[in-house]
Amino acid sequence: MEPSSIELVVQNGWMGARMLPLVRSALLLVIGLPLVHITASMTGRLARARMTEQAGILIRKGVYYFGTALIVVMILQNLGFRLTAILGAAGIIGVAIGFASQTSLSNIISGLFLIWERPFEAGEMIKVGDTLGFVLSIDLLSVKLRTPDNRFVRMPNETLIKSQVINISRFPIRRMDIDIGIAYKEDAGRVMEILTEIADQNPYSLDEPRPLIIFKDFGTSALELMLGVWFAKQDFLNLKNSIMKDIQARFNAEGIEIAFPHLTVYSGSETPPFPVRVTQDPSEQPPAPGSGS
Amino acid sequence: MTLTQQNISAWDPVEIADGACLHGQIGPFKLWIQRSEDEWQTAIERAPQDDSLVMMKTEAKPDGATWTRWAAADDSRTLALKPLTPDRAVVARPDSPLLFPPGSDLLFFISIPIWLRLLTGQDMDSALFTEPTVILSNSWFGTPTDGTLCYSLRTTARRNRRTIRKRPHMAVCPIHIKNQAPEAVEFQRLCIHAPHLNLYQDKDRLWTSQVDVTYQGNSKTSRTHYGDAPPPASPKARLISEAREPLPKGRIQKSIDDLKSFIRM
Repeated sequence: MEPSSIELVVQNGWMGARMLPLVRSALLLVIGLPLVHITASMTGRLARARMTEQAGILIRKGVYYFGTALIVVMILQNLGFRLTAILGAAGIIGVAIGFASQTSLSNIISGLFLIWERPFEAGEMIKVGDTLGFVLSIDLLSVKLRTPDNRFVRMPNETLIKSQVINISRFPIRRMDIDIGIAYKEDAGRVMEILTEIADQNPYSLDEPRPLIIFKDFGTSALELMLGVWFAKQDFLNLKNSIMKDIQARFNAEGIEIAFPHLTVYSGSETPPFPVRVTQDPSEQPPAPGSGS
Repeated sequence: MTLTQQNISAWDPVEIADGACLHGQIGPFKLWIQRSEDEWQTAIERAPQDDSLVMMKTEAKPDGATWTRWAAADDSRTLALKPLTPDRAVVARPDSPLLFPPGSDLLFFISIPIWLRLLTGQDMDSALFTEPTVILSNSWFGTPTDGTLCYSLRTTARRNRRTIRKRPHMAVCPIHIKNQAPEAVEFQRLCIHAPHLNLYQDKDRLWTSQVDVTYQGNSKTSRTHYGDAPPPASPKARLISEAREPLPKGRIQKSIDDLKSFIRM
């Protein structure tokens, strides 16, 4: 085969034959890596548009790592390295590293299980322990989260496999449970009707499934009710703010007392409670007679 | 007042002078519009329980209104209101349950609030906003894990069209139900895919295309057909707005939910 024009220049010029593989390798690096990056991005974007965000991330990373490995192998071959020997050495080193880094291996395997089982996907909101956040990506060793107040959280995959994970945004609708305590003097039946009306009039509260109202308990300081309203998951804040204001406004209009924790002191079962009345700032009181001051 | 008054329709284009303020009202939906050199300004209010109709007319600028500014696409000073069906499916629930005997073939009417789109531009192709005349409550059609977000609509489900109140912001939707099941069916709620309905107007009210529902029993899928022509109840009504989403031909939809929670024997 006739040598290419680049090879002729190299062989006949000042560089010589030894530089040819280096030039080829440099070209592979300079052209190949950006090409791999572009291909990975385009493939990931296509996958994200047709499938899910998580699939897009996985495919983009898969194409990127595979393409990079291919380029590295081609460069090594070009430079004359024997790949069988390298792979053999890498295998032995890999086993040694594996024993030394069992946690990393565990995270990698846990990550594979997370991807396979799909308890959550990129873009969904999860809660693990006290940490609440949006899933940014599920990576080889860890899951990256962004909290609602914009903090970055790295959570090892092993932790997620071993812990209870709550996926808040998996289903399209959710129920918001609001605990309400009313004074003992109030008519619980009437209050429950009012809560139904409040829920029905709120545009973010779904009419179906019907709002749930439960008379939970005779509490220490209040009659304990619970109002459970269903909403589309994207309306959480709209519903939370509007329905709390609606409840307060309507209770004020109806004269319904929202109970607060309080304690009534009796001297005995037959007597009324002690009345307590503060009439003066104690620091302004004159000293008691005979106190010596 | 009707939607057409002295050959002027509420949906006809209107010219606005620079600096003038136009006011119009379609039922509870009140609108004010101003035009300056390079922008439009709009203000919206809703007056519940109001069924008035006010054709666009010049009026003083209202106090305390919240104005929205829109960059004008061109120099045109023409605007028009276009009525549309809701942008989501509507779950209609009768005020009291209605039973259909086996073998029955009945027509009843419900009223659906319309959406309004404000169009401007020389070709009337620049839409400033699309707003509901009535803000409907959300509802869900399906199970807690899968379904469709809808609007909720309470209806009296009238059998006689002459008893239906004429309201400029409501379109009458004829629903034709055939019960081919051997048992009576209780109509508790019906999901109507409103974006598939055309809007028509006759001399005094708005209509949608007719919806035909065939109920074949709990174990079979109900067949729904959305008409593509003026409803038989008002055959001379003219088309003023096409369906937001044309229905693919040959598609069978479940509108009476065949899950037992929706239709009970």
